[in-house]
Amino acid sequence: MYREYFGPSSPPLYLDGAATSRPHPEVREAMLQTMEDLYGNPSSPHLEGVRAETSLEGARKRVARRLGVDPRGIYFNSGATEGNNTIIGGVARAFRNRGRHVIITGMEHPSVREPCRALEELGIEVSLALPDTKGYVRAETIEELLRPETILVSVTAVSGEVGTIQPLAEIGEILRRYPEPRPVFHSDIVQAVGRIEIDIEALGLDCATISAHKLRGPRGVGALYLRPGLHIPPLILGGGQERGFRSGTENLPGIVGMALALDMLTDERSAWRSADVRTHLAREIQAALPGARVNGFGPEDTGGRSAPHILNVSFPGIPGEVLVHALEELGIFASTGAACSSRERRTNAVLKNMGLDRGRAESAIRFSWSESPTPEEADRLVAGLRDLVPVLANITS
Amino acid sequence: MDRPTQETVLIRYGEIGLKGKNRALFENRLMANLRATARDGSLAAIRKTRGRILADIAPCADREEVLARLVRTFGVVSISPARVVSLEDDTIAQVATEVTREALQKLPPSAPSTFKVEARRANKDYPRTSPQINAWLGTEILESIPEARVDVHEPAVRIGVEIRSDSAYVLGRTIPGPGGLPVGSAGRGLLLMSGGIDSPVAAWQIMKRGLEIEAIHFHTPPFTGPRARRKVEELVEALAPWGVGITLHLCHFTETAVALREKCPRRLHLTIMRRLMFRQASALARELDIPVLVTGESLGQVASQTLENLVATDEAASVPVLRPLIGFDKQEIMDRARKIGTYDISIQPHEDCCSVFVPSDPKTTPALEDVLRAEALLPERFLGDTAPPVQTIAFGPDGLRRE
Repeated sequence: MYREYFGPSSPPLYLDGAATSRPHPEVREAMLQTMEDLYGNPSSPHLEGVRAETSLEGARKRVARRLGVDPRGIYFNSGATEGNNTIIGGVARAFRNRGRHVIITGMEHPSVREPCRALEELGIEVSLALPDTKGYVRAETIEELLRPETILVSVTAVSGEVGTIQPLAEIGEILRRYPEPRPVFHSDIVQAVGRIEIDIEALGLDCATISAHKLRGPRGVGALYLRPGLHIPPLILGGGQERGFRSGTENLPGIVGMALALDMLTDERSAWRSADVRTHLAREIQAALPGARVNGFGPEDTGGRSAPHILNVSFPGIPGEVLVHALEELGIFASTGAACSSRERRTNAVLKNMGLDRGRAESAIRFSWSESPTPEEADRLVAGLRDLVPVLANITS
Repeated sequence: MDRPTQETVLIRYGEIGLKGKNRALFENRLMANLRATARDGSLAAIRKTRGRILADIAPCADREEVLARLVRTFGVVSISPARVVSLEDDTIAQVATEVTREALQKLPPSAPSTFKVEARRANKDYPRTSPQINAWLGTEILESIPEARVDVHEPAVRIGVEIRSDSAYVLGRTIPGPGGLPVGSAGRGLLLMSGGIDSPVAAWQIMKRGLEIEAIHFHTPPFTGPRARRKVEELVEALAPWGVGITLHLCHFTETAVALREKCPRRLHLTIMRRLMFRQASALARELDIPVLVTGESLGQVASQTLENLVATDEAASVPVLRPLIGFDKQEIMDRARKIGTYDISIQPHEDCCSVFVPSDPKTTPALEDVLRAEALLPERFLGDTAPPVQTIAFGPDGLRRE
């Protein structure tokens, strides 16, 4: 096994789509075209500016249509990290006189967790709604944490670590019934868009954030939805682009690429939403390696509780990093949840919040995809694991 | 075209001067190293002159950049940028004034604005004697720079003027170099490089004493990842400019480590693993015709570096092992690592993942007989003394990979 280090012999099998995805060739083409043809600044008064602005507003309508929202609520930015920072910081500044309490879940991405940690330093209390062992946060947990002074509830739609889908509709319903003034309801929907049905307005979301690069679009571009009528202060000030909410010359090639990536995703919806690959892989892995444990909802759970593109599995006894490197020698690229080094042990916060013990968290590895693996590729992964896991477990245990 | 002045650098060296008959060899090595560290085409000429070296900076080169590179060459005690001028009074006086002004400006604010002219007249046909030159130029400088004062005993700035047959050199500030001996003048050594803080510092210390370094790194994929390997490459990149480049040999150690783990008593894994590395490194050194190994070991620093473990590992080496850090404290090593620019690379957290092969309670005082007996449990092929297969990457003195 460990002799094949000097270059994988097989074509790469990229199973790290939840980290980032390979831009779609048509997206690359559209971006190149935009760079060539639409180099004007959308704010300029001349023809080149107007052409760029027309393209920008066209992209806004397409993104809005795909997300099922009013185009006036769409603001382009650099991605979901910026979006989450903008919303969390903005809501706190806009509503801190109304209340000093925020609720997030134990399944959030660091770009939600860290801005909230910063709020704590400003004297705003942050409650953590803990998930069950499958990573599922019950709507009642949120309900129990709600108080009249709560100004923000932020719940990620799909966990990027384990794929668990959160009950946004139920939470939205609870918030709708809650006496005025209601907290702002936000969701980081990065891992949900195009993978599961998500209707922002129907869910009662006031704001939502996405990144293009998880959807076979380019990096460094994203969009933020803010319900028209809801006002929070901008994070980035300057030339007043994006109706004053997000200054900085618009990244038109990126925005055009994102709009196209979203269109293609949603058009290819049937393939995307098929949970068959995930179920198949989970079953095959468990059949081949009885010690393997799926983190999050497994194939035995009733359908529709997990996004179809993320499968997180622990192989107890083998540090996740070791298995990732071993798979890499076979040309298979996955990722660890919990990074581990001899200097310090950093346990993944999400897996810890799910109540997984350290051994299980540190042996977790995540397979995720933006293009579904073929049956042959799934077989290749399972065969690789079947060969590697017993040998590695023998060495590391 | 006739240029009024030209940039040259006077390079002083110390210990080399003591080396008797070998002196020419040392000087030639230093000149070759200076040429290599200055990099392609940035020196127009380099020559020896009366116990010193003169290097002319090529007109197209970035002067400060070249000075910075020359001044970190081992063997250099100090350098002084010099300007070469024609033997006309006006020109010499004008340049001496400029050089003084520049040197005074670079002084710390607390230092007094004092100077002294130190003339040397190699060209005896020149009409003024050395004391006359000192007095003449001192007066000229005092007239042009009102705040300057002469101090012949402890001047803040010494302005050197050398009168030669066809030109004069005017020397201003003196920049101290690292001292030591030119890399390569002492021979070659094979460094065992881990990726930690110590081994790069050991390399630096021993390069300073004239040893040219090649390095061997043992990696254990998949228990170490590509980032751990890149870290070692970055350390070599950072060290290479201190010498004349470094060749890195990557040795795939997984199979050996796994066998060790399966066959030998757990608490002796660390000691035996180091013995196996010393043995393989010795074999590679002999194959490369390198006479010594170099390690970053420091007595008592960690469990593997107790006297007993040093003795036990040393026994496995078939060539002598140099340990330049043996008497250093950890703090001294870290300070030096910061100074030479390897610390920030060494502390990147991409170490051996989860220390799969290192027990948490290694034996610190193993008896050599016990170690030998335990080691003998390994299959013969892990104990042979043929050089292991390695992947070799050469880094030039610019720190870049040579194809």
